Amino acid sequence: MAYIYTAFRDMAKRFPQKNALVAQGQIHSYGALSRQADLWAAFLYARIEQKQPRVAILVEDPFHSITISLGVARLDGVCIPTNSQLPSEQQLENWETTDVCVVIYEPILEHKIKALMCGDLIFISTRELEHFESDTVTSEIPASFPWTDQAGFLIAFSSGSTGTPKPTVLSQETKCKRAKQTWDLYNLSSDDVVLCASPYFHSLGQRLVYVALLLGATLVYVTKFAPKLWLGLVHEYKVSFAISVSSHLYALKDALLQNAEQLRSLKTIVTSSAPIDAGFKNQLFEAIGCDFNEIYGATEIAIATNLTKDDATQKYMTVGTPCSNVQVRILDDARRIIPINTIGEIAVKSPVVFDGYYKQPEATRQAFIDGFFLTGDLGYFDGDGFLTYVSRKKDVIISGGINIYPKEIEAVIAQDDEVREVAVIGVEDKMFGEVAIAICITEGNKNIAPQLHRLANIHLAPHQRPLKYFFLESLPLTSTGKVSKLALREHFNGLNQDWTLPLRKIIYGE
Amino acid sequence: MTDTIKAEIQSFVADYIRNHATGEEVVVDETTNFVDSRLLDSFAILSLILTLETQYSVRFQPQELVDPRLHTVGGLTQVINNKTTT
Repeated sequence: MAYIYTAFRDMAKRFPQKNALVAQGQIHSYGALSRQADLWAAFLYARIEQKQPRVAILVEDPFHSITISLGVARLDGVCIPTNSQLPSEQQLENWETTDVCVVIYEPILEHKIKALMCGDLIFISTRELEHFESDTVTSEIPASFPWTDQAGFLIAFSSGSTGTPKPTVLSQETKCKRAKQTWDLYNLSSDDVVLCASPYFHSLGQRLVYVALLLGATLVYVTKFAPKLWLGLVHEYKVSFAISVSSHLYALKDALLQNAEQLRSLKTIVTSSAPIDAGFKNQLFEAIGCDFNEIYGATEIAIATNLTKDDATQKYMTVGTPCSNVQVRILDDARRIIPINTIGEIAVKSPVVFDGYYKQPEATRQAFIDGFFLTGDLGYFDGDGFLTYVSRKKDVIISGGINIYPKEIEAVIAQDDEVREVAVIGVEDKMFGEVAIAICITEGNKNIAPQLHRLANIHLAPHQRPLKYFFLESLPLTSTGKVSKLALREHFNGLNQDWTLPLRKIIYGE
Repeated sequence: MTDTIKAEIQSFVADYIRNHATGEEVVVDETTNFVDSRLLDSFAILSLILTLETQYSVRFQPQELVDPRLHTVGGLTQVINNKTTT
């Protein structure tokens, strides 16, 4: 069932002239988006009539990604949003895994995929639609298709509980329910203006597109994030709601307070796993009147918990309490429920759970226990029912037999005003098995190791303190846009440093 | 001037040990051996060395750390002071 298409079409009928999308200096009305989506549906229907369109979306302009996705939704097809920065071999592998039959790309990206333009895949440039004159009105396209009962609409690659990217299937119905979950959680309405600064291939981009457009709200899209641009767009279009990834929020932190006057339209900013302290959240509320909410979730389960501004004062280190109709359990290695204040794996039962890993029934089955999705994340509940996220299970550093949770260390280092972003990883060590090091982003790669050592000496136990601090231009990202700790580990292990040699000399005279 | 720097380094090292030592009312002076006395655990010793290296922009050669004189507050202070003033 074309739930998404129908929900969007209803909004387009209700608000044909209203601004639906602001992107790349253009403003598109609901009517314009709807016409373009119908054109895509007609074009694809004519081009691959007897098959379910399984479409890789390799475009950067949100106008294209959104209208293609809506056109595909009309045909009960499947979208595979693709990151144009991925090496072409990896793109091809992802398309083969998800049985892509059509790749829609922007001419500007043609050079990147030229080598792939052979074989059975159909490559369609967005320019082709400009020359397509539809003699098929969408009403002539059937309401349902032989493939309509197949659940998938969107396949996103998620790192899942094991860390290996898996094709996560989301149906149109699930996407609609997830949009509603966000509307209810933050009391959104068609009067809201939603800002999205994440690309469509990123799960957050996919979330915000439908949160705004299935509600009749206006979506302001930042395609290339820069703090100044972000602030300018919030001011110009009176943005009221934004979900920000932590790296954007770090970059915006100072600017938000300095430009409070311009930002008064902001009602709610939602962040995910950003160690922003309660003091800053309060300052922002005082200056702008803007609520800061912290969420915890995953592609497979959407939002599991939410921390409101009211609770943030007391519970700022937590990610809040489970959302309505969501159940969260903490499990030990034997998958038994464990008591409060004990760290274990976070397992979530949600009404908006994903529809399985594509063609991986065994992996899907193993990802659940008693209907609870095993997130691969570690956390614990306190006595008041607030969840604290500790780390990815695979990112735990075991140093001298002690478990070290990078998130706790990152939160301390992030307290330094000069640190924009930080990732703590474990690297192999002769003496302790692993030791922690920190990779930081500062203005102009400024080396601020002395002050970070002092900060860590005050706030962290000796075994938690990073042995060394490194300062890079940027942190490597995974294909889903998260910091790739795997890439960092590989790089810093490759340095072959003998991290604890000074200690062995002191203790053993080695 | 050198004496002031030396006093500051010694104070830094002694404060670090005091802050990390388990047990109450630990007396730390220049003769305190922070390795043999077990006032610091191994992670804290390593952290002390790395902190001092960045704090005073000095570098310890692994072999010089074998010298037991560097395991006392006074000895370690002297070596850092020498490195910063030469």
